[in-house]
Amino acid sequence: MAHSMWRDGIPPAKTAALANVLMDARTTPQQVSTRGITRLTTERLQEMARQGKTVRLISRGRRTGSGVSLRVRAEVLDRCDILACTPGTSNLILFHTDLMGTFGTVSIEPGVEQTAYGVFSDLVNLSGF
Amino acid sequence: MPNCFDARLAHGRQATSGRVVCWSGPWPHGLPLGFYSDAGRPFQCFCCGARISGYGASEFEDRTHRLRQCRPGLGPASAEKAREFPFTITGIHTLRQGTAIDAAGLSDSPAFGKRLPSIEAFLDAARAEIAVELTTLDPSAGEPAISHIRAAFVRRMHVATANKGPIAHAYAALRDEAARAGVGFRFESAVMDGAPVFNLWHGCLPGVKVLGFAAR
Repeated sequence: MAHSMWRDGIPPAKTAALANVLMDARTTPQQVSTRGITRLTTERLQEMARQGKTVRLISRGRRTGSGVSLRVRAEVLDRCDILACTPGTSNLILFHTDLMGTFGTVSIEPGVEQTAYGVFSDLVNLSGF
Repeated sequence: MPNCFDARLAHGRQATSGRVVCWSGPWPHGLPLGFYSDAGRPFQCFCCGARISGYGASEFEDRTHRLRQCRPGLGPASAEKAREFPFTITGIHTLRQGTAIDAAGLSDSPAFGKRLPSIEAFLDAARAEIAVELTTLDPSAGEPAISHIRAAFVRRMHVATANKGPIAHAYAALRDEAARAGVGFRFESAVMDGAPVFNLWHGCLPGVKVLGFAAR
């Protein structure tokens, strides 16, 4: 069941969606390589905390010679890593680009109102106001 | 590569009059967020359902209630936005609550009747220009959201969706179908809960190639 959730669940879908739009990957969530947190033990987490590290679920995509490589991993990060230092359910994405280097956007602990705004912004754009 | 964002403009269609139809998932009281507006002309475009952001029905109701009770500024703000963006919702279709239809525009408290038998019947009855798709879906296949979006394209409706499933499973095909139909296809809420990702890339970064990304 856990494997099914990882294979079919939200993190791979998010990764595939980003790749399809931003990189024309023409992929599906099933093609995203996934590895979750099931191998992490309490002792390991405590050890990482003492070392100033933490674990975050990270989606990554990159162009390769043969197409696009996509993966979702529970990564060990320094607590001050930009991918680790935003609180709770915050969203963050970093784009690696050819002309603009690496830049990103962040949303601090978004909720239903932010999702609603996204729909609203789509409506405004579609309506031509 | 066809541009899903500007298909409407590329085909020379006029801007819409803001007639919106939406359908949502199976939560028992799936009214779109935004029906608490006290505006004379309802600001009904906040069409966000519970489950798309992880809220259960009871949490959603509680949250909506708290918005009404604790944010007195929301009403006047909505009224102002309603004047600025006068959308009209002509139909709402839910799995459990039924269907509300009024081609002239639903009221703040729409009356729900028997659920229409299909999305196609609903879209035909609602006669909107934009469809908001918020269906609860099977994450392993992206359905039924993908089929619902196609039903709207066939009827030459623009589509806004907050589901990531259609983008994850069938983006290229849907993008091309939208372009052929001369309609727009938007999905800004699909990945980062409304924070600009796709609009940022499309609108602010001409000529930029995305080599990779990292996200949480």
